[in-house]
Amino acid sequence: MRIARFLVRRVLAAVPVVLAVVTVTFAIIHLVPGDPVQVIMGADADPQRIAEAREALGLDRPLAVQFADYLGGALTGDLGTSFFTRQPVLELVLEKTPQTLQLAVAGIGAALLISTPLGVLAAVRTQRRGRKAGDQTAFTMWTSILVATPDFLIGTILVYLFAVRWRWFPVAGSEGVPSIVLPAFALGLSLAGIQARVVRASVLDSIDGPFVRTLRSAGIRERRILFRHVLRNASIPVLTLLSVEFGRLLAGALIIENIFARPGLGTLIVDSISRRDLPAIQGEILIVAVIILVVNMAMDVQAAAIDPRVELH
Amino acid sequence: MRHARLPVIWLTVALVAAACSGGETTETTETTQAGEVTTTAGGGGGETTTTTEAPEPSAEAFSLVVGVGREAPSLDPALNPICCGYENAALYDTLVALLPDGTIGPSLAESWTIDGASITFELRQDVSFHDGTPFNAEAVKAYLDRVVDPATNAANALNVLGPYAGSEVVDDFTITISWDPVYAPALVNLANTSLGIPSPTATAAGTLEDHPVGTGPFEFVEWVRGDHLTLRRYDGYTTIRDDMANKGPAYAEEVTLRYVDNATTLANLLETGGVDIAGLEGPDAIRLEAAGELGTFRYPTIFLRWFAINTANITDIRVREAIASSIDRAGMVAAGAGGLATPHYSTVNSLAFGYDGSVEDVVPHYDLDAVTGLMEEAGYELIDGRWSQDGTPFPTMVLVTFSVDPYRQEAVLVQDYLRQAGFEVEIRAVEVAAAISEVRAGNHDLYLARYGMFDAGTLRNLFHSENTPTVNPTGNNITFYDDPVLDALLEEGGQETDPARRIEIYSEAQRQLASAMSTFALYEAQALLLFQPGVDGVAIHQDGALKLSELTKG
Repeated sequence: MRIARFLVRRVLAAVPVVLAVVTVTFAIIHLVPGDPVQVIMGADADPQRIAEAREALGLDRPLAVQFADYLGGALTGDLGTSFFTRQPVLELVLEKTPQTLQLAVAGIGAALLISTPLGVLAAVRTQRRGRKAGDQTAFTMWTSILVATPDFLIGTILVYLFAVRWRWFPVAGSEGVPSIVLPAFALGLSLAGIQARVVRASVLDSIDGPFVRTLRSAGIRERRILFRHVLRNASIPVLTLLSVEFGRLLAGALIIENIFARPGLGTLIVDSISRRDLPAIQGEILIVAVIILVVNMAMDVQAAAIDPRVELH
Repeated sequence: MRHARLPVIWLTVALVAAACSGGETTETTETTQAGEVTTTAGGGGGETTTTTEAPEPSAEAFSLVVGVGREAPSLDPALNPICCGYENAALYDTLVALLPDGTIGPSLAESWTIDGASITFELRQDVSFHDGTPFNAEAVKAYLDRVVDPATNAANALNVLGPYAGSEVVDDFTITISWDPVYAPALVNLANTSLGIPSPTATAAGTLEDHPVGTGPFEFVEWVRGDHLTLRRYDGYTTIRDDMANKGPAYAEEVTLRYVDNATTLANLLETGGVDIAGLEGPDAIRLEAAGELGTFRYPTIFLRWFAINTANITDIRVREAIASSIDRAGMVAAGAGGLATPHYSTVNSLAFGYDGSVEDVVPHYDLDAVTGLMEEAGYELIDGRWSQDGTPFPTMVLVTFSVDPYRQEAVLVQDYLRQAGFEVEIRAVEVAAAISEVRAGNHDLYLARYGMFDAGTLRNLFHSENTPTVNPTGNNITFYDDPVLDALLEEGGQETDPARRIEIYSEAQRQLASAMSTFALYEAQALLLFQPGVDGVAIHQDGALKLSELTKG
């Protein structure tokens, strides 16, 4: 019941956010120079034909009318038709979204795979050896390197080593599990750097807490305490971080999709922008905004599920 | 029937030409004209031979994966804004074909007669579409009428078809197509794959976009947008095209076009065998060619690197000549094009009808002494390495170009050359559509871009005063130069149907243009196909599309 009320509140709160995104996107794409009709018709198309095409696409109407028309359509699920591919934008976007989501989730998975053991080991080591400057410096250095290295550079290095040089994984493509390994790590490694620090800090916060001392005094083994109790407590900040970082992860996916030739939203957005495919740009940004809002909501619900003390607002 | 060389104006995009690595993003009609030169793997250059016969087909069935940098947004030729892609050439045949020697040859039309503004075609009687629909005059009429129908909202096909006035079906296999007014490039434009004929049955059923049906050597199997297009050999295919060595069905049983936007990724796929053949440009192409492990096919393109001066801002012709004399074309070829180009001087590329190479004599060459002479004559003196007049430095010039490589890199080169010659340049590298808007608004002093043409008649689109943006907001004369003599020559060339006379007119036009010191070609680009050992029969159509039906794999 509490979750249901939370979801209703968040959906209502999302409406003005989505409206703002739609409005700002509309304004920006119409301010940016470049004529979509010229792109479609060609630079030396007959001016008469260009005028006819502009009228056919509704681009000769006042901006306010175009915006109202778009909003009206969007409310009924009609996001318009791509100027370039002539496909309904909703269909176009839904075709590509699963690829991008798949990559984003795989990226999160890769990040957790690296950051969790790294952060836990660093925390346990600190707990046992005390806060030695050398350990701290090494950990900070390696995680900083991961954070500072751009996704595309990581991706390029991974491709060169694991695909071109050693041929362990495919260079590009989207078929089969092997094809997602390198893109996932390219996307996740940078996030892993930040996450590892959060994991380490969270585990250190919990590892000597009162409830842990109680568990130890009850004779519970250290490993069980760590993995069953400490990590559970430590996961809340990690989830919070993921919620915040998800937007950046999606942005990174745009670049990674290009490097690994994965036909997702990222490639679509870049192509749409360069082609001035206005309805497609509008629809794609809207869908990305909705995805981020939904993911944030889901992360909050997940946090509440893990820790009943977390209040849902 | 002897097919006379005819005046041709192929639709090209002068300004909308983003050379996005490997994948050309915007909607350039990426056309090339090829000689049939193949090199074999095993060395940096290999042997070059002229291929006129089809290679021996493999005994076993095989499939091919072709890496393609740019995907067609639509497989319906009427709606596809991009001309000349692999897709159109594989799925559809055109009425006529542009041959390597610049003449027009038969394809779906066996022969034709020209009568003023009309052409009557005798069509082949032994052709069917992939869905079994017979190819005939009605099918041709249906498509051409559909292209001009406002409800279709056709793209490139509409531009290419020109002032189409209608078609008359004389009998099942005879059709008369008319234009109003007389349209000089009519016949050659019918060789443009945007005017490849689709099945009227599929068109009427509304399934053409999702399941394209033509008479081409391949039929449609599957299209995953952004990823790949799978085509299957059409076993009933035959052609009478003079430029095709293989007149029957394709050798490959199946061909997959794999869409890869990123040039480095495409290069990696070639290296690792992820694709059998792909076209590349830039450093990746040079690297792989030099490695010598892949077969190579280097061929000239129609594209020129274009350097233009806004004459509305830089009004002194001596200054413009000095600017032009500051740029070293050989350096641009080596450092900018990575050697995949040749220095060029005429505003018309060498493969185009009407090209006059002698224009090189009247176009400024790299000469810093000449720069000094011209600027001093114009009343400037060199102060602290910068030209100044009455103590005031020559204004910093704004160079607009595209924010993708190699344009961005080459802009830096040009800036450096000009700086060495005493000029300051500020580079404004922006996205393609934005760059075009900027130069149309006249917010530039210099412009670095590219264009290409099959016929010198395209000069009118680029340099006639009627196409100055102040007159025509979508015009391409971004030099803003108004020359009545040049205008008259370009108009005369567009109306003249005698090829010999057209050559004279356009030779004069190129010289007249050169004298304006407003526009300069720096180099003519080459393109490179790389392929796995065992792949043979590599050849391309005149528009740059790969002849997929002639490829073999051993």
